[in-house]
Order: sequence, then structure tokens, then C-alpha cells
Amino acid sequence: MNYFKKKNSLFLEIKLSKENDTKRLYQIIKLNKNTLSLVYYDQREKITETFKKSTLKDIPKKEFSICLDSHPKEYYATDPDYKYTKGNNYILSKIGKSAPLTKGNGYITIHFTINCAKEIGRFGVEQMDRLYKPATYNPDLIKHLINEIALLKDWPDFVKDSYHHDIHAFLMFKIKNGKIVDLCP
Amino acid sequence: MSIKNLSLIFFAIVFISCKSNKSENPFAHLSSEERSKLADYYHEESMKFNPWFQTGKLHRIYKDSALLAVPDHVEYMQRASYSYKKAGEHIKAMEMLNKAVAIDTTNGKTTALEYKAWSMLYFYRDYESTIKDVDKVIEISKIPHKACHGESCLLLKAQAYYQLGEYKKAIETFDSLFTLLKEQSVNPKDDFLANFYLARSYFKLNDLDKSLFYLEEQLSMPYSVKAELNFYAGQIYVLKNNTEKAKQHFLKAKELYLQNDKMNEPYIERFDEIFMNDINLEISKL
Repeated sequence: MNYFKKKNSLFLEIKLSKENDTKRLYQIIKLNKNTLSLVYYDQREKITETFKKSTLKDIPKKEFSICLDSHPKEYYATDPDYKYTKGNNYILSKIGKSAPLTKGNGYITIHFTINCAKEIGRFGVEQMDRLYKPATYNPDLIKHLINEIALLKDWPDFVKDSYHHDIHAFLMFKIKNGKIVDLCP
Repeated sequence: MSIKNLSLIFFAIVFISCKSNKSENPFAHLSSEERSKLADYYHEESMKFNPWFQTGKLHRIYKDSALLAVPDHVEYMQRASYSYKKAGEHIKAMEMLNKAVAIDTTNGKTTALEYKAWSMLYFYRDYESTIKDVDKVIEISKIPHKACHGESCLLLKAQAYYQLGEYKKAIETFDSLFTLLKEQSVNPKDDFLANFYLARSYFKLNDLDKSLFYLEEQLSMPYSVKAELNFYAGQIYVLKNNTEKAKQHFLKAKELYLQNDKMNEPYIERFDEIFMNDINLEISKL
């Protein structure tokens, strides 16, 4: 990470790739004791990110990063599909066994990226009911799912190409009467 | 009225008129033919970014632009939903797909509903909805052997019954499908998936001989998937206490698995698809 000043503006340069020198340039637009605001451009969009000083005691020991600053390849775009080598039933029995209960029926989709070193990060969550509308489930269950997915090790090898060194995948847990009953797709 | 109040009213009018201009369709001034041409152009452009960038921003901008030009175009709406479904953004995907289905079925058409039935089964494992959608497809189209996104709708319905544990209904539905295939001079044995899940339904009903019959019949067919057939035949021989035959089938399943002669569907994991750890586990138990 480097920073530099140009025409009275401060810029931050962050290395994004483990394998090459790909960097992203951010302009610092606010900086004080508790807040850092950055702006950068993604295609035609101006994106502002604000960071507040954390009060958390537990800071992740290892930082996840993707291997190439590009849109990760989708799991289905590899040949064959990028699927967990032990299958959905294995994941279901491993993760579902000690999963906290919740209320209702629907789906919890956990998104994640697998980088070229088969590390998992960039988690995201989508929760919906049986009518495919937004819903919310027990946060402890979400936390459990993310923690357990982060521990999955048996991902297949991935043949990198010029544009893709990372994979985006998701696991969709089907909830019936508050319990995990199935895993899609 | 004071100057202050007059100014407020003036600014409010300007604000509202600006807002309504913004929400107006930018293609409103075009004829329907011009809008249709423009939508086709945006659709073609979006396809240039398949399949790598189908979930990307640029693809979505083109898809949204096509739908701005022709807002009720069922095919473009359905295909725009793929971008979200494939990225796991299911709320948006289903919102678009349900809208496409509503427009399509109102017009007495079933293409979007056929795709929805397929998605309900394989992507969402929503078996009740699969059965409901297949029934509606057949009711609207009046075609019992209708295809749903490349597979027979009845095959989807039978699998949904199988997954719901309603094995007798699954078998009845497979039988209906086979009758329809025969009427079209198609050999039912050529439908690997139907015969495979028929065998699995008999297995679940504890009719091991019938299950084995259909598995072995499929093993002799040229286009069947052999690793799964051997694996489940092996499980039946375990239950019949024929360890030797069971071992032969599990080892064959392993060999064929490594040759990729196994279920391998894009996007989804098939029901009862096997993995190497399943085979190794069965062998270790012998």
C-alpha cells in the first residue's frame, strides 16, 4: 500500500493481486481520527467507501485477497463446473449437523469467492422466503454457515486463464420449518 | 401571497417536472417498430459477452436497455433473469421470471413457465412448485408431452414426486411419460434419466428386483451414464448379501467415474449424483 499527493489531493494505491502488480487507485476525500473516506471509479460509476474506526476486539488474523483484479469466473463457466469434490450431500451433513435453528421457510444463499490458492473470502448473504421475496433468518445461523463454508477444503483444481484467477460460487440452503433440509443448486 | 411562498411553489413545480422527465422512458418517442429493432440490437450486444460476463454489469446494462425499449418482452425478460440467477441473486431473478411468466401465461403461452418449472426443480429444489407449474403448462398448452427447457415436463414432475418421497406417484408419472413416448414411436429405454429415477423409485419402495432390472437394462444402453448405474446396482447387491457382485459394481463405478462417465450437469447437481467419497465409503464398508 502506498500513498502520494498530487495537486493538493491525497491518493492511496492498494495492491490487489497476489500474483502480479495490479493496483487500484483511491482518492482520499476525508481523513480524521475516526473516519477514512475513499473514492474510486468502476467502469462509469463513481464509488465512495467510508471506513470507521473499529471497536471490535477480534480482528481477522488473515486477510483474504483475490489473485486478479477482475470479475471472478462464475462456478458454471469452467469446464466441467466448479463443484465441491465431495458433493452437496457431504456439505449438507457437515454443515447442517450443528446448525442453529431459525424460523420460517425459504432460502439462505451464501456467496463467496475462491482465490487461486483455494482460500475462501468475500462472503455475501441473500435471504428469501418461499415466495422468493426478501426475508430474515437467525443471525447465528448465518454466522454458522459462513464459518463452516470458510472451513471447506476440498475444492477442485482450477485452470486459470488470462482473465480469471478466481471463482465466484454460492451455496443455497433450503430452510423448512426453521431447519436446513436441502442444498442447491 | 408572499414572494417567499411564490418562490417555493415555483421551485416545487420545477422539481416535479424534472423528476417526471427523468422517470419517462427515453425511448417513448420511438415507434414500436423502432423500439423493437433497438431492443434486438441491445439483446445481440449483450449476447456478445456470454458466458463469461453474463453476470457482469455491462451485460445487465444491455439487457435493461432492451427491456426499456420493449418492457413486456417475455423472452428478453426471462433471459435477463438468467444473469441474476446464475450469480445467485435469486430475489431479483425470480421477480423478473415471475413477471415474464405472468405476461406469457396471460397471452396463453407457456415458454416462461416451462423454464420456471425447470428452475423450480433443479435450481431451487422447490418440488411443490415444480408439480404446480408442470400441470399448468400442460393445462394451457394442452400438450401432455410438452418439453420444459429441454427436458420432458413429465420427467420434471416425476422427479419432483421422487424427491417428495411420493414414489408411487413418481412411478405413475414415469409410466405416463413412457406411454406418450411410445405413441411418438420413441423407445422409452432411450430416456436415461426417466429410467434411472424409475429404478431409484422402486429402490425406495424396497422393490430391489425391479430397481435392479431397470439399472441393468440401462447399463446395456449406449447413451446412459454408467458410474451412477453401477453404484446403485452395487448398493442393491449389498442388500442382497452378494458382496462379490457389489464389489464388482462399486469398482466399476470408480473406474467409470474417473473416466467422467458420470452425471455432470452444468449449473446444478443432479439428484443422486455420486462423488468419489461415496464410492470409497461403500467399498470400505464391504
